[in-house]
Amino acid sequence: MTLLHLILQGLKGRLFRSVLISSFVLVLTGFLMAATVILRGMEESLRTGMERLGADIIVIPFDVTEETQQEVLTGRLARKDSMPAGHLRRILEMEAVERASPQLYLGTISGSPYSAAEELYIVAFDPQTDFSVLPWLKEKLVKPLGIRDSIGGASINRIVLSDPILVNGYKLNLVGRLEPTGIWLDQAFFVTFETARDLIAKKALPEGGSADRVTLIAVDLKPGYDAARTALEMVLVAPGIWPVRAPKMMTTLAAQRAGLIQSLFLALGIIWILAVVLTGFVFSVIVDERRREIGMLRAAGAGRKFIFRLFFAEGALLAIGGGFAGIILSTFLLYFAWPWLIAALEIRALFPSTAGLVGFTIGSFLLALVLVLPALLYPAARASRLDPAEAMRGI
Amino acid sequence: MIELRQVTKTYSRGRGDRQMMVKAVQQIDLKVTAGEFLVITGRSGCGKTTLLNLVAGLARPSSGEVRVDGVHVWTMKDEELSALRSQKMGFIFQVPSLIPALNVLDNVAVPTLFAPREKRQDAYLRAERALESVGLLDRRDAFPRHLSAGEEKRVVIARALMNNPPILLADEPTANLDELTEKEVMALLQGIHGEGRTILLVTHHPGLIGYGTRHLAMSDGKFTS
Repeated sequence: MTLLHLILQGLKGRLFRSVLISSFVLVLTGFLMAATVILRGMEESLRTGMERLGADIIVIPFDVTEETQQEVLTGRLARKDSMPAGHLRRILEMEAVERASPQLYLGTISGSPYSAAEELYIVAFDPQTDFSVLPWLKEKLVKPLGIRDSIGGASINRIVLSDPILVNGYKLNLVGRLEPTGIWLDQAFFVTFETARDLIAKKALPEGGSADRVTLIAVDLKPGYDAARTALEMVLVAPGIWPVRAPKMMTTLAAQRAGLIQSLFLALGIIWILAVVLTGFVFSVIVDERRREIGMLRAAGAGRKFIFRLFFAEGALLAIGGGFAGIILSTFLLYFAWPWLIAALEIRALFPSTAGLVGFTIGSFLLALVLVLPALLYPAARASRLDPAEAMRGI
Repeated sequence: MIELRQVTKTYSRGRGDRQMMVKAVQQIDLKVTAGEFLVITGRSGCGKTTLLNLVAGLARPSSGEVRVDGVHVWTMKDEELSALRSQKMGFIFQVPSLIPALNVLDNVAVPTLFAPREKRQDAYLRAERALESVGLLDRRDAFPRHLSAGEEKRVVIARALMNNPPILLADEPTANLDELTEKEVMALLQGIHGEGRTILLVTHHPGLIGYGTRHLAMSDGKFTS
């Protein structure tokens, strides 16, 4: 007879309750782990987007709302919000401009079979001048993009390279794939302006449109030029545009999303605390239920330390077992169901790297231990301090 | 062996204005010598169980001294007092006290958890012997919920004997038992006494007086005879 045997037999003998408590911990830690990974993924997506979008100024049509400005990053620019392609030439002629590259939103494919994402965007870009899409390529292109060639965002993952993509009967070839960005690029097919003209000519886009217009121009400035001043000058040379300084736009967007993420982290923190309190409460109830057993053990020669160890170890076994299972289950679920989860939640988040995921798993487990084990201290201490005579009487 | 000097135990009952102090045991002096079978009788609520708890060091007296083998038990640290209970006392409770999640053999073996290391090695062998001595070896794998009241009481006796204690404290050992089972249990206790153990038995049942070597009656926390 050992303490471990007593604990294991006790847990086996109260199987229903043991399974119930472990399941509670499993669901809780699983949920908290998943929520933490998703929130961190959102944060990472925001950070990556800010770091790698690359442009100093994003030029968009003037008559768009602030909301639409933010959608420059999140996609869905409407066709009507386009501007003449001639603006690009005027901007390129400016002394401060190092490079500028246009993009044109062509249309949205809803419920496509190529991705778990609800909507996919078709966007024309200029590979010759581009500096915000091609840097995300997973592998270098074998040959330059030709007509009917396309590059797919990371969420377009239900199709292999070289397989055709049908857009209203128009056949596109997928020749490259982008790394996950956590922003709208993940949901886009990029084609050349030549392909855009062909798509429009073949009436593959229901809304029609013109490839002589652009939806946005990403602008990079020469070193030493002031973005705010250049943006003002741009309005003079190309009336009808709205130059948004990338840092400002990012800051606004970042502030909004960071605020949301912070609120969610706060909510998560509160759930953690509630979980700890609830765990303490559940085990306190268990101590009350087992007063007679405590009294008997004390009469049989158990010291206070033994009673403390018994209740603490029993609770810890249930919490560790349930917590470990919950975290492992959650990790598998996140790993295999990430695209569906992100699509269902309608958020943009980056899945962590393998090392990051392992870190999250270990970190969440350690955090669960650090938080839950102290919650077991109180009931275990209460059990050990029970007056044995009172314990036996109160049964 | 056991000595109580002017022992009083007071409980508080109720709260606030309704709080009142109840003297469960009042200035009791008692000496129990080795090998005695002392039967203490009294009505329910007269302080018998409290007296037994005081002897076992399970309840701290409000005043007075409890000595076992000459040592004032409340000068001991918790570990020392626990060790004293483990090695010198076996306890038979009035209420069902088996651990429901453990089978009979495990229940009987529980006190070896608190015994010195050398006594832990053959715990299950000794538990089987203890069960055999109370005639329940064939029920070793049964769980408490499958035992009759008489069987449960016998398992509790087997458990109380596990660490071979010289003192056995029995609180209403025949409560809720039929006449035949009562006689079986008391015969068991007599056999245990015959092995040289000291037994302190409290009961409300005057019919058990004859089993002891000495009898004391208790009323309102005091001995009356």
